Amino acid sequence: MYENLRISNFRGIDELNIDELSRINLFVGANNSGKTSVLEALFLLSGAGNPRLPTSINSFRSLKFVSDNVWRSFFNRMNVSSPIVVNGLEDAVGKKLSISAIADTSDLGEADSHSPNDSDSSSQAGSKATSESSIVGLDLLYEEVDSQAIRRTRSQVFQEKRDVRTRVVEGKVEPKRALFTNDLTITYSEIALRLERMLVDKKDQVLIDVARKLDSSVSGFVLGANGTIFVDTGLSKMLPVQLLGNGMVKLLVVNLNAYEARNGMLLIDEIDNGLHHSSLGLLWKSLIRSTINYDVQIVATTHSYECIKALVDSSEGESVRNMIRVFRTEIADDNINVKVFDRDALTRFIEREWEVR
Amino acid sequence: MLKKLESVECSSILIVEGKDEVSFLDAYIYRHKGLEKSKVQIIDAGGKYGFRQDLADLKDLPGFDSVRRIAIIRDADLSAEQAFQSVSNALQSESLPVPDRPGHFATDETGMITVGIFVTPDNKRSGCLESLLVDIIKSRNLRSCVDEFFKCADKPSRPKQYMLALLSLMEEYCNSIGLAAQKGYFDFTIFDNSEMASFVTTFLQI
Repeated sequence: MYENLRISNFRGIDELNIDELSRINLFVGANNSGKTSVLEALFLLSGAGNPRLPTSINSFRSLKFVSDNVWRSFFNRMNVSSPIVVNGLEDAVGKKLSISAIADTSDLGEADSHSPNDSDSSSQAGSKATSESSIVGLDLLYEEVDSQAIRRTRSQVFQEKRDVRTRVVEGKVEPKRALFTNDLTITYSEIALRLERMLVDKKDQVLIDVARKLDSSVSGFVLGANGTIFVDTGLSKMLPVQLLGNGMVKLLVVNLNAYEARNGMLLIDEIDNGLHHSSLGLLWKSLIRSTINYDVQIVATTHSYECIKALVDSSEGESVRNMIRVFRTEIADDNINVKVFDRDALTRFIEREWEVR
Repeated sequence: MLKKLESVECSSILIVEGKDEVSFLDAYIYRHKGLEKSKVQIIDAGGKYGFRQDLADLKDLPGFDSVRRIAIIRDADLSAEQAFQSVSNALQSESLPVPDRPGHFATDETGMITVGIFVTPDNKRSGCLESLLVDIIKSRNLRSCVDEFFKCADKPSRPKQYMLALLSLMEEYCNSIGLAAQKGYFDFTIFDNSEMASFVTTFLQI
């Protein structure tokens, strides 16, 4: 589990220190206050230098092309003269990712190509640029330090003619399992694949339990040959799950993702999207169960006060009350700061009807 | 979902404990003195969790970082000195400047934040805001009736109960000093001469 995070020169963030990360972390704050950037930074760090991830996080924002400006947009104020640095401490292992801009491709050698449309939502992640030079890619240096050893890997992602290419320059470090999701990152074919894994592992009872709380007639899920997910509601024929509404699909996806991210990290942007406020408690209870059963660390964002309240209401038990944190990002003096709320603080704010977001 | 306190909107904030105190000062500052709401924000710190916790939490509200002037008004209850000390301790633990005595203001070494404390009714006596307000209620001639009422019942006339009894004699139903202030049952021209009004006026001029 990540305990802290340090981000510098990334997106809208000049310098940001986040301490007291816990099992379930919810980021709130105004628009453009850096919430999604925090998720992206964690995703990049978890990728251990996977060079495909920078273009993946852009595609999650529906930015599916590269250009000088797009490469620069990874850097705070587009200032490519300093590297992006993301540091984190995870289970006594210090992790550091430094990303520098590449100004030309003349000495990049052999590389794999991929389309910037190819989003890699699960991670398994040159020459120095100046403000005047044209930026054609990113150089990623990843280092892990623990009491035993230092491990490092260096990789690059860059544009060559019309292709985006990646290459590993040196070393290989096993990445942390991490999954980044928002409403734009998942397709029904991916949902079907994840359900298949859960069915094969005989873990689908969790899904049935959650679904039954939304619709008590649900007794099971079946995967069709073409990837359609059917649900048994006791009628004479099974129904495609989409017919049970967006809320059911959303709960299904969140729980499938939690299982997919087991022993790792699940990053969920705008977690409450598509859910009625009355279902938010169900969402959090199922995620709390997942974080315990599957050892998943969850980092999510929301704009919804009901979502925060549902998290507090769903974490009353002695064993889970210390597992939640809410972080509010806010812009002050042209920088982004963060305030941390534990469950006791959240309870006080909600009881007084004070704003947390 | 609409909340009682969305954010800190002003660089000057007046912190009180209770919604009645907010309503009273709302009527006095905005209506009687005619100050714009954008100049000073009156905040109910609650009181359930203790002033130290309330102050610590207030600092975590959106917008608090822009606050430059803070006035804290709270009841003396049994002891004005103890109430002042309690607020001073809370300020100290939050690294905010601490005035040397009630009714006064202190500014930190950077000159960025000024804080003042007032202990009702008058920085000296025990009691509360109601202790002060019994002297400015418009139907003061009814006080003799209320005195008789408590004498007949053979009960001590505590300030809050005494004020409630007085308010029960108003023309329209009124069960709190906040509502009474909004209905215009207090004579603010008399209140203007009180130490509390002087403190508030000084604060608004900083």
